Amino acid sequence: MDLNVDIEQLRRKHKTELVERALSVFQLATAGDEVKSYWIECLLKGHDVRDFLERLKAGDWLPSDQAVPSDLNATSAFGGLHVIDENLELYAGLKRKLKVRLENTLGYTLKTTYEEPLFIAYHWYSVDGEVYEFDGARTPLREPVETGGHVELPINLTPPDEPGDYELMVTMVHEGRCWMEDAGLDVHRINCTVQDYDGRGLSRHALAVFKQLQTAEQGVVH
Amino acid sequence: MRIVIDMQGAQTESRYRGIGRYTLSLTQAIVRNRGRHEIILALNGLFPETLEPIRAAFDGLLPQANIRVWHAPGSVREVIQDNTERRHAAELTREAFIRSLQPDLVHIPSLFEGYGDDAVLSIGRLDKTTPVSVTLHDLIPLLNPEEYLDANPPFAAYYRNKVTHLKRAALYLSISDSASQEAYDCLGISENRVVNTSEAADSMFRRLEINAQQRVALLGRLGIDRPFLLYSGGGDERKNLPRLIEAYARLPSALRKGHQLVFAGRIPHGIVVQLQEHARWVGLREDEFIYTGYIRDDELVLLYNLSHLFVFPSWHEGFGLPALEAMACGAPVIGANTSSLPEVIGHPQALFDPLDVQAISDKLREVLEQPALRQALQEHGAQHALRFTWERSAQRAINAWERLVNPSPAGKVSNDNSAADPQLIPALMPFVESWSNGAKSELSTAIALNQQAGTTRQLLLDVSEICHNDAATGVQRVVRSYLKELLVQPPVGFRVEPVYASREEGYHYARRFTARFLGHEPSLDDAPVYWQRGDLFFGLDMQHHVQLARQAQLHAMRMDGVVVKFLVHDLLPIQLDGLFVDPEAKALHEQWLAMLAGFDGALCVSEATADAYREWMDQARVHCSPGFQLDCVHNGADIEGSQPSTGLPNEADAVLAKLMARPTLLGVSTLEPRKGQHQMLEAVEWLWVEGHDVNLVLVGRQGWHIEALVETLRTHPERGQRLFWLEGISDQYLGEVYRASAALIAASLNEGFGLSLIEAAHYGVPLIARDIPVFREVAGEHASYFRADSGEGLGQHLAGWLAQYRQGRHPRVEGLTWNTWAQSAELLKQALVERHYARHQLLVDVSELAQRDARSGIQRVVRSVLREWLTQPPEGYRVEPVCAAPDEGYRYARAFTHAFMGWPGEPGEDSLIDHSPGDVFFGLDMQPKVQIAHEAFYQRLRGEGVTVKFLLHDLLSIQMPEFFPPGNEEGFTCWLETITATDGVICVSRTVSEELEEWVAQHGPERLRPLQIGWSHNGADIDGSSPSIGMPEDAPEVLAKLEARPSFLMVGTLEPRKSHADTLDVFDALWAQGEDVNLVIVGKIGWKVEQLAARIKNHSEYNRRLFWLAGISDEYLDKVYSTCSCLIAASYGEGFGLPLIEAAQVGMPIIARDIPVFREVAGEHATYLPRDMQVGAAQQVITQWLVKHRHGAVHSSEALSWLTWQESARTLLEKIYRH
Repeated sequence: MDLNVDIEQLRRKHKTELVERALSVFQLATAGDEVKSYWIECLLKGHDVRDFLERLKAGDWLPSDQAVPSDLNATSAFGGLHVIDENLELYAGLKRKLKVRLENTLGYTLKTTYEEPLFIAYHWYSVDGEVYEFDGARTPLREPVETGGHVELPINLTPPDEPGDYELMVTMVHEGRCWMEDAGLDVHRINCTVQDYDGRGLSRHALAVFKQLQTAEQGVVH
Repeated sequence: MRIVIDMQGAQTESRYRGIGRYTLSLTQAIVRNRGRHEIILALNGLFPETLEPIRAAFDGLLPQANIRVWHAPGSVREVIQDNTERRHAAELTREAFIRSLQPDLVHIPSLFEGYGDDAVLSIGRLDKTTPVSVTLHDLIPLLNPEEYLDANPPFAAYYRNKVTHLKRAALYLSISDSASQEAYDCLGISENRVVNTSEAADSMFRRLEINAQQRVALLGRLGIDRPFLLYSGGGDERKNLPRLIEAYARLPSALRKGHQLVFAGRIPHGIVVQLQEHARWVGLREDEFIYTGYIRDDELVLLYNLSHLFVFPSWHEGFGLPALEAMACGAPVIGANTSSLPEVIGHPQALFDPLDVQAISDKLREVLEQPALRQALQEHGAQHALRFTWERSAQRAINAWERLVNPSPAGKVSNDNSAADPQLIPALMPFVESWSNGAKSELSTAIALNQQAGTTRQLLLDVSEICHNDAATGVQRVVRSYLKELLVQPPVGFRVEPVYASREEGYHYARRFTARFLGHEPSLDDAPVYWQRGDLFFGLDMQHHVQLARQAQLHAMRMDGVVVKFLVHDLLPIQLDGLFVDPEAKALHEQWLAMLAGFDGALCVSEATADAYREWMDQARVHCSPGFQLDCVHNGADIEGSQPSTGLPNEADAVLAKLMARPTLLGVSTLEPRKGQHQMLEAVEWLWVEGHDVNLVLVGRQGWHIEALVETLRTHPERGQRLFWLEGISDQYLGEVYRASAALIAASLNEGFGLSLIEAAHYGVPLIARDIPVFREVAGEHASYFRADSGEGLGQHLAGWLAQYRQGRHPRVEGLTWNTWAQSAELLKQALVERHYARHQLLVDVSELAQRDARSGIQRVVRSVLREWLTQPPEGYRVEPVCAAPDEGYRYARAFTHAFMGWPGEPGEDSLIDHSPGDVFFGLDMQPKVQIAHEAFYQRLRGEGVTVKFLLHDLLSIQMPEFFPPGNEEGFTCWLETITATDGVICVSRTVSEELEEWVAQHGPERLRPLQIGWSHNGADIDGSSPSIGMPEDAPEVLAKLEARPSFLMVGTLEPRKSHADTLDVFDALWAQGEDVNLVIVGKIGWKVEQLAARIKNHSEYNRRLFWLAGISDEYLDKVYSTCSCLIAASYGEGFGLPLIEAAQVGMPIIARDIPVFREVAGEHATYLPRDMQVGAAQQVITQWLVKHRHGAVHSSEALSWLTWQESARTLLEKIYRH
């Protein structure tokens, strides 16, 4: 029985699938293994998925010198906060956990204290770029992240109440002081589709209560 | 009295402060002093990290089942305005949950929580009847609004709202006289509603012997190098710290030089900075004023002990616990002469005016310069502190609650409370109707969890017939009587809900009928039935068509954890086929009885009926669901108890006079062929012919197929003279008839019970009954029994009886006992909820087996134990196999279970599991990937009160990593860490349990509650473990070869650990030595044995005297066992050693490597090989064994004791339930 859960292998598998799908979508399926492995490695190093897609879209799918894109060499580009969860299935108003990776390149230790709480949080934007919800749910940083260090953790995420297309920016907040994207934290927006919620994932008992709530809402209180 | 204590004061940030300590210490003392009262602790699930510490704090003090966790969707903290709707919903949800615990009283140790955290506290929002008591710590913000409220409007709104709730409390436990006074003054509360229960210092605050090393280590770290004045506590303004600093600065410099001023505790950073600036401003040097920052409790105790003087200058306290703690540690204490401190400090010379800096300074100087005063304060403090104990506080609280609440001695009638509180959903609507479906789903999950954690369940009584039509039959009399008793006195923990259905519509609450039945006006509609795990459905009314039509709904209920039972009155339509009006009665009754067997149980009204049912099921080969139980409860028999009808007809007196004129023989029942009235009439006619002067009275309406008898009765010449037929008379008239009768004749061909016998006995009327089991069961020796089937035969029996009667020698009814309906109802309740009531789940993890059956040793254990548990579920538990994947939660493995057990019908849905306190999760299967991934889930289950335990087969992966694939050790270690972080691990042998204890001592995770490590041997009967069957074609040939010479058998997968290679070395030596023996290896090829496999297959003795039977069936293995002479168990290590027992079952001698687990299993019933398997020594052991074998003198293993899988599964359960 294989007892090892190989996360790295799993990540590579997912990135490979992502790159292959993207190359296929942009009709670059014949681009060759060179392009494919180049981008797999870039994404594994934390390259922004949106930037990758933008580049493919713009035809800039393999820099002439095959060098790692310039922003990857900059310290800040390796740092920051990235969504690493492969599952982006979201249902309106249904809280879930979202895996993120925080790399600290800020030059000081990121830690939360009683007096100065530091949380991971997020903003929701509508597709036209307007803020939909600024104050996302907080997830405490359970342990300090030294400068140069990183941590992967699941954060609390509540999708918007209305189904539709949105952009999500995961960031950090120094409570009462500032949002960390304003203090140099490298953050990104990712596209998300929020579906309507139908009671999935509930136990039969909870589903019975859910139906009672819906029935009561319709004014037919049993 | 059931007291629910809301523990949120020990869950929020307050847990780091005095309030948290107060909540925990007082509650622990209440639990210790609870006496006959029941205490339930209610915990807020929004603070998951606090659940285990609180459970641990009460471990051994209170059953874990008395700690209940409730849930609400967060966040709800009031500081965030967006939380308003969620907070309202949470308040209602919490109150509904607490009400479902059926408390006589609720106590809230700390109401003022939830502004900056997710505490939820309210009074009287949903539950306006249960009395609530609240601890009153202080009303400081209300008394000082300009400082605490005016500048912070959101906090002010929060605080004033809390005061509104506070005023709804029925009782206040104040922590000091000063706090009591605040309640009178600020809230206008009358004195009789306030009781000072005080506070106390925790027992850890005491005088200690502190050695120099400890002293130097602590004080050195904190920068304290001379005698110091100590303050501990918060830093808000009322603590008056700037004045203390200034007063200290005013001390003469010589005095200051010899001391330091130390502030200890968690004070917000900004305030610390201000205090430090203030100290500099008033002229204190850096080393004169020290702030320690947060310190642990044990360090605080040391500081109290080491302090030269403790100063508590706060101008307003509810109590002032630090002062008491310091006194308990032997420190001299001085403090403010305001609020509660004078009563806490209790010494006039220790007090000062906190608003006067000079007065503070003078008091400091006075104590520092007068050693005698300092010593006096020290001695006083130590004595005074003894007056404050948590035990005393708890006793005062309990006394106050006892005075407030006076529950009825019979206990609480639960019908006004409900787990599925009908008021909750409507009350929630204004706040949640605009929520998204996602948010509603969270609320639904929370409510469902709360309902599961609540203690109230529904007893759904099927009254489908009687609620539409009371035909006043015998069956309906039973229904009416039980219904009345159960509604008035429900089983403890149940809310009785009569329900009904029709062929067309599903079950609905019979609320209108119930209200009418109880003489009330209906207030609720007949809503569709809502059910949850642990509810009980009881088919009280017999409505075959309806219950058969609603079979699917009843199965859905059962699938959701509802226990479904039925009342069975008789099997007469089957036993007396043809005597019923409905020609399909038999078929219908059979269909109905067969359906019942698919549920949880049938309660028969007599043992005779239960026996008949059992017999019929055997004959009809009816499939019973596992756990289906037949039980018996006799009907009640008091006519008064079943609401008797009244009224006498005009001719009653004349009739009764005739009845009393001569011996009257009475028959009471509807006129039907099966009741035997025809035989009775013929018998009496025979008596009349024989000259006996007797009456015959038949009481009962005309039934079916009885027209001829009716005609005879109507036209009989003796009618009205010595023959009477009283149709449809009242219970009152019947009573008079009984009193006038000489005997009751019970001539029924069969009955479910025999109520008429008891009714007759009730009136003292002698009994003449047909000799059938149920009449024997009911009347015993108190009746005269006849066997005759003819009128004349019965007539002769009656003649004999009359002779005895005249001489007073007939069997008497005096001494015949029966139940009243109240007694029967009590027995019924026991049969319903105390026996065979699977309230809890035994969730059995079969994640690996449900996916694939690798037919490994571990899976053999899983299969065998699971089959035993499913076939004979443990009392009180429903066995539910469950499975998960690494990235998917646990679901019921219903499709798997159905196929595994070969049950008929459709399996239920593999839905997500639910759980409630008292359930048990047992990791029977080993699926490390899944189980490691769900570690957090197991901890969540534990937090909710579910016991989580695992089965451990061995520790070989870490003891002998070289025998396993690379990486196995790390994975196994990770798995071991997961399972040892739960409640317990049951090992398959004592050896493994001892090894695990060692591992846990060295590597086990830190834990707050102890880990149970137990052991339970595996079973060993092949038949009991779902054996595989099948024999290969060459089997007879192979078996013949094995029989030809002594054969040594090795059983187990080929892997290095099993030591096949060593054994083969020994046999090579034996063969070289000239021993003519076989070596038989049974087992599939495993890992790292390619060389060995090649060695076997290329061996010159292969298939001559060396055999390798890979992957054979259990059937074949059984034959091989019978053929071989001796088992060789040469493993380097094993968790158990099943082959040894399997060998013992066929009496096969055993030669085993000398390792602890083989010694444990085989003891003296084996011959042991040296542990190092050195060829020469091992060869010698076998050679000697062969010599003995030839002389018939080898050790037999027959006496080796072993468990069947049934015994093993039962023992394992006992270990699992041992908490």
